[in-house]
Amino acid sequence: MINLLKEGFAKAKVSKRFWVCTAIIAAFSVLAAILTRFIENSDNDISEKATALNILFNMLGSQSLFMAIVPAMLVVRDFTQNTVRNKIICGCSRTSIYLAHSIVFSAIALFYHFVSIAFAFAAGVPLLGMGDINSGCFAYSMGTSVLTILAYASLTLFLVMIFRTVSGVIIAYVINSMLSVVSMLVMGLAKNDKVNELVNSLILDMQATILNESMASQSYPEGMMKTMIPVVALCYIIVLPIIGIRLFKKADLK
Amino acid sequence: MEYIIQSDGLAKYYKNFKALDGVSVHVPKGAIYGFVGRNGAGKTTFIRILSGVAFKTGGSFEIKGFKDTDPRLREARKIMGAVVETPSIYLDMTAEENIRQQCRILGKDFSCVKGILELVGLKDTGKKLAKDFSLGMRQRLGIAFSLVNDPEFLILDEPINGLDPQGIIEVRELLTRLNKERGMTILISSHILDELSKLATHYGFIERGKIIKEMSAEEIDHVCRHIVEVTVSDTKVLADVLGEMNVDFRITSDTEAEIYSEITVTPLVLRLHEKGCEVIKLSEHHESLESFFINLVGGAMND
Repeated sequence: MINLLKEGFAKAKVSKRFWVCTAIIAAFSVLAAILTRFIENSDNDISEKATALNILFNMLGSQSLFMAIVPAMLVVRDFTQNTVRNKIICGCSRTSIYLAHSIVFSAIALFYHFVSIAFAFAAGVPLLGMGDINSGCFAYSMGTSVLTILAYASLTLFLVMIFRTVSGVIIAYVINSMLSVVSMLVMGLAKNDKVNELVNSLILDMQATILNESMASQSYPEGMMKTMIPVVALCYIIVLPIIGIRLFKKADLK
Repeated sequence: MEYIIQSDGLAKYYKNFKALDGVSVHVPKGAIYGFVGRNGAGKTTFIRILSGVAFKTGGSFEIKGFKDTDPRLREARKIMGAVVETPSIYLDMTAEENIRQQCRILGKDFSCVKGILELVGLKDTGKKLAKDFSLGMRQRLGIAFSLVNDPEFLILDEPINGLDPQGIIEVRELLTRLNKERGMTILISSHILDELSKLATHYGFIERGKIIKEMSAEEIDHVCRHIVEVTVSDTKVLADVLGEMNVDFRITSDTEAEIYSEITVTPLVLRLHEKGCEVIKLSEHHESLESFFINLVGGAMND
């Protein structure tokens, strides 16, 4: 397992795509700070001034694309270049192959998350100021955002390991967006607070939006969402690899 | 005889299609086992099951005495190297980085990297990425990959497909060296029979998912017929003379014939001369592995 992790991280390190995406995420975070400052300067009617906290999770929703491209492509290439076959021939178990992919995938996704936060913070504090921090809420949002990112990683890896081609990456991205649209429809039709909270907690894109608002306003998510969001994220993190490993163990590879 | 690989009634079904239908194979230790069959005969499916990439539907197999149901089989696979169809290589890395990756997977240090690259003739590729390698270089890099764990047993699926003549010679020399110098057992599947006949010590012939025959190279040599090709001025006279001599033969054209029995040349030539038939050319050769296979498969298809 450790050997497979070394192989996975070495692959990421030499991948140009990995560093290009890191640069893009860092640039987006800085750009977000600059744009926010520019908008605030040009519009004096804004009642609430934006702070660095407003842009800290700016990438949480949209970064799922970036987060998925690099690690998912590393996994896909393991199949398209047949290097996964080589691991099986060398005696590596399919469980360890899946878990190693999962750890490398999650580590890269978290790396992007923290790069995004670090650059947003570094550019946001001097340009927008820090704002008031509710330490409990800040810790909650940070911790839960990590879980949401890991849940994103778990879902994307699950689909990639099933499809084993680039289409898995695309489906993983599209599925998040489609679920968001469907959930908005459900919420619009149900018009019930409990249903809204449940849907917001279940869909990862909605979780990201809630956490972004929570970080910006330094307030906890409303009602049961405060508990449901991390619990649902944990379910994604635990359940999907279990199903994924079971399916992978039965799959004939090329 | 000690066998590195044995299978007994190995089967693989895809819905109604029988890719393997009761394949029993015996690969002796130290042999170069030529796995011969047409495209779609089941060679790659067999190799994929042995490698653990695909799962069997029925039957059983053993690798170095470990049954496929034995949990220790995964450990046994560590003495095995395999290149199945296209070689497993990291296209965005150099040859050296590729071998280093394999060392990482196997938990080995990098001390063997240079030696392996030298062995497969890729030591001077420098910073050239694997994606820019020729087909032959990729194939050799794939073989290099499988050599990192110093395997006792190597499986190669169509390793010379698409290679130029120089590449074919390089791969053949490499395999001969591995077999002779390291005593490595090699299972090599191919349908380029001429090339295989220069390497293999044992053969397994597969057709439509079934093993038709397993033979040693010596047995094949014995079975393959000697053919004497004769070019004469009049094949009618030749046919009469050969008939009188009670010889097995076939007229192939107006001036040519093939003789399949052992004959003494002088009496034949003298009798033809007496009947006014001129002998223009006479040559002897062995039936090739290719024609042996065609006859074998033809027979299997008729069964």
